[in-house]
Amino acid sequence: MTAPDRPVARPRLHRHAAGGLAWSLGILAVLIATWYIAAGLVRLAGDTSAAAKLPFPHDVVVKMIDTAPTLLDAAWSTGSRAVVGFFIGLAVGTTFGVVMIQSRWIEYGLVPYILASQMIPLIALVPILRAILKDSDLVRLYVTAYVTFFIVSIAVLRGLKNASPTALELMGSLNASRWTTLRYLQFPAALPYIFSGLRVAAPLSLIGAILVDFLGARNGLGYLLVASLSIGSSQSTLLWATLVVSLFLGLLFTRAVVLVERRMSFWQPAFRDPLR
Amino acid sequence: MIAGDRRASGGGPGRWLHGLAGPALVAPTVLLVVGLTLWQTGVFHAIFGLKTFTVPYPSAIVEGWAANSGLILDAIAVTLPAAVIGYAVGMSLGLTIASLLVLYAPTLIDRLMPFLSATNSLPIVALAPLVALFTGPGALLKVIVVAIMTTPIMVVYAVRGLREVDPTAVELMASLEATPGQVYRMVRIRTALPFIFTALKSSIVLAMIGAIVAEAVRGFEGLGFVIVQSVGSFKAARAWLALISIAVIGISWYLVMEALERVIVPWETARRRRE
Amino acid sequence: MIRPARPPSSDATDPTDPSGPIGEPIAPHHHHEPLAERSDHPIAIAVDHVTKRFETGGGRGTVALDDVTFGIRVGEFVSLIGPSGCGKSTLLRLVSGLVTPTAGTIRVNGLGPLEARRKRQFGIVFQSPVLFDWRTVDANVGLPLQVFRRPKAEIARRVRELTEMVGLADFRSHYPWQLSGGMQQRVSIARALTFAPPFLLMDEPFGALDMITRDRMGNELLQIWARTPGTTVMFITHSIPEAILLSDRVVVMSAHPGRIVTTVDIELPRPRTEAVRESAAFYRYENELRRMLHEAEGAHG
Repeated sequence: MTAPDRPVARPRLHRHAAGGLAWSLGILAVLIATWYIAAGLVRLAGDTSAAAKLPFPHDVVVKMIDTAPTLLDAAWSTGSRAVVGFFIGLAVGTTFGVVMIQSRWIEYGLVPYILASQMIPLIALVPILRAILKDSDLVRLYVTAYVTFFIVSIAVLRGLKNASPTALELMGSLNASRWTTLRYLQFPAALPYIFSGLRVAAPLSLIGAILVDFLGARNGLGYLLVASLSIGSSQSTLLWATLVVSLFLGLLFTRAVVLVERRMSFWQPAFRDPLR
Repeated sequence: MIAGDRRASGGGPGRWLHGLAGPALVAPTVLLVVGLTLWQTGVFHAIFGLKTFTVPYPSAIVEGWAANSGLILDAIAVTLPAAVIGYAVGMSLGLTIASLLVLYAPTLIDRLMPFLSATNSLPIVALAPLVALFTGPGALLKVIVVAIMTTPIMVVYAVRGLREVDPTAVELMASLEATPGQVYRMVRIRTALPFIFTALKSSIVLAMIGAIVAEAVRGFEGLGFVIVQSVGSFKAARAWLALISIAVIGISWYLVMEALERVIVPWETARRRRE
Repeated sequence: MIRPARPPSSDATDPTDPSGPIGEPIAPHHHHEPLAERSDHPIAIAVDHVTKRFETGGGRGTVALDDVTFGIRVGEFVSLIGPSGCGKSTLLRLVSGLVTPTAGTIRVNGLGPLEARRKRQFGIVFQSPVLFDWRTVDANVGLPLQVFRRPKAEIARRVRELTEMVGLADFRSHYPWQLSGGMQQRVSIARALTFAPPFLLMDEPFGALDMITRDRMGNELLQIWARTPGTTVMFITHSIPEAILLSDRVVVMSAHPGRIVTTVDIELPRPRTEAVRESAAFYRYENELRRMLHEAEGAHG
């Protein structure tokens, strides 16, 4: 997906804490009830394979408990690769961002290609990558690293440019070196942009890894999603269970980024304690 | 009676063209030429240990066009319409849901947003095999998968845009006793347009992913199917041609939406240029 | 020169009357006489013992306005001046019905603020011009009439008159973001006047402009006002010279809580030429108002 032009609003934690929880539970209850009704309607319609197509939520929960080891194993093999790929992408992306801001020529040469790659569904590369690398783990690393890389490099570039001209003049008046300016001014000023990008990149890197599994791996969450339907029609419950696990893992990734962001750029207006 | 301060600034297309003439045009071209040369002369293959049956030389890909053009064009004719229709359905549905929420259930929105944002963390495309149980592997599958994938993005962005109105503008409209419908038509939808275009642009790649993955997993035709099948049978040039078609479609589609944005939201484009 | 005052509702040019077109022919040049000569004019806005509390979290509220009473006569130009936090903007929003009072009553031409608003009595100019980026100058000025679903021909005629009056005839097809800050605010004033509202409410309209532009805008506002006879202006500012230059009367307010300290009649001749601005009387008013504002501040520590 596209990296945001400017930092987007952060999810506000702890707001309407008490009332919010009640509301969230209420909406969740409505969603689950809708699921029950839909599943019931499919059965009433006389569909003989209804249970396979749309199981009841409690079936999914039972399945999750029954197949917990399988699910956790799959979550680990996909999730751990996604995390490693994410950090590789973060490191490479940051390096590129810093390099690009040093020279207009480098920036103008690279940015069009980085932007263009955001408009292309990279997932189409997966079959070819697999043919080249012959190893699903490596493909997962490449894809997650690349997804993170292009979001981060653009975010770092935009963020480093975010330093105010007056502040740059101040650093200039102190005769600060390029590196000192980067460290004390440009990098902190870029943090909101970087984290804004990372909040998008974190779930996307996981989805990228799942899609790699999806297109021909032998293990992982994506493999379970495909296999659950091709092994036997009675297994769609496993598909739903895997989806729930994927959702939780994705939310975990995003939340982790938000928590780190709150520690590292606590001075942002969105995080300021209203009592102070 | 009022003289002076006639500081009307145009900022026409001249400035944009001027920007292209410098490094903005030369640098990417140089990079492209160098990259293609290193690829064609086998330097990349030597460094990364690539084989020509997975990564053919650019010349081989170009030569492959004659033999494969019919097949590729047929595949595009299958994939593109499904992706576009699914996209159109998803975008319209998303905008409708967002408008209804903002107009009739504004208090509910804050409670619903976390659930909608959570769909960002969900590999929705994984629903493709499940949807296929109901629809079979044809165009309908792709339309539905793409629509499901793109709707939440539009809801999230459109809701944000429809609510991002300047509070003073709302006061102004209130002082004129404007109806909610007038406020929606004259203020909200206009403020939302830049956000709607962000959703329109971000959803393109999702629409392509949805269509291609559906084809790769459950299809028997289309670009996604062609790639998987060509790689499986070592027809590398064909696979790369399909890949390049996907890239060209993705970029062109994006550029079309961006051109549309420049026509429909000229004030936002002008603001961005100023920044 | 005596102008006809606009009586509350029986007026032939009542803007809510759908039969007739909006707006009387714009008078050539027409100077408002000092307040002293027309103290018989009826009260147009009556604020009676009004208190406004804003509830904040934890059951504690902020008192924005505390027991405020004052009136504005028909055709009068009254400025409200005071430090930030004195509730002058809140007062403007109370009068126009955008906010409801906690206690007390407000009558506008004998009507409640909401009723008056429904009868389209208020043209408001905010501190930011609030122009719609997607509308040309013309379309921005015509917005109120479009909201009122007026015929296109009438909108076009009024827009032409108003853009000419504020000196933007050459910029009618420009977009707001192509204009300078002063020009933007002129569009906003023209928009407020398109439907010839009896009341012009201005909330620090020139607060965001530089001093030079601001001076010029003050003079232009007086000229525009001279050409829209009978319009009552409630003007909020924190600039003492601006208040003196424009007003028949200046209401001085203090903050925390917002209260009226005193009211000063500005008995300077109109038109307020350069000579008037440089007169000894002008400086006396300036010193007097400055002293009052400081005293009001001192009284609250």
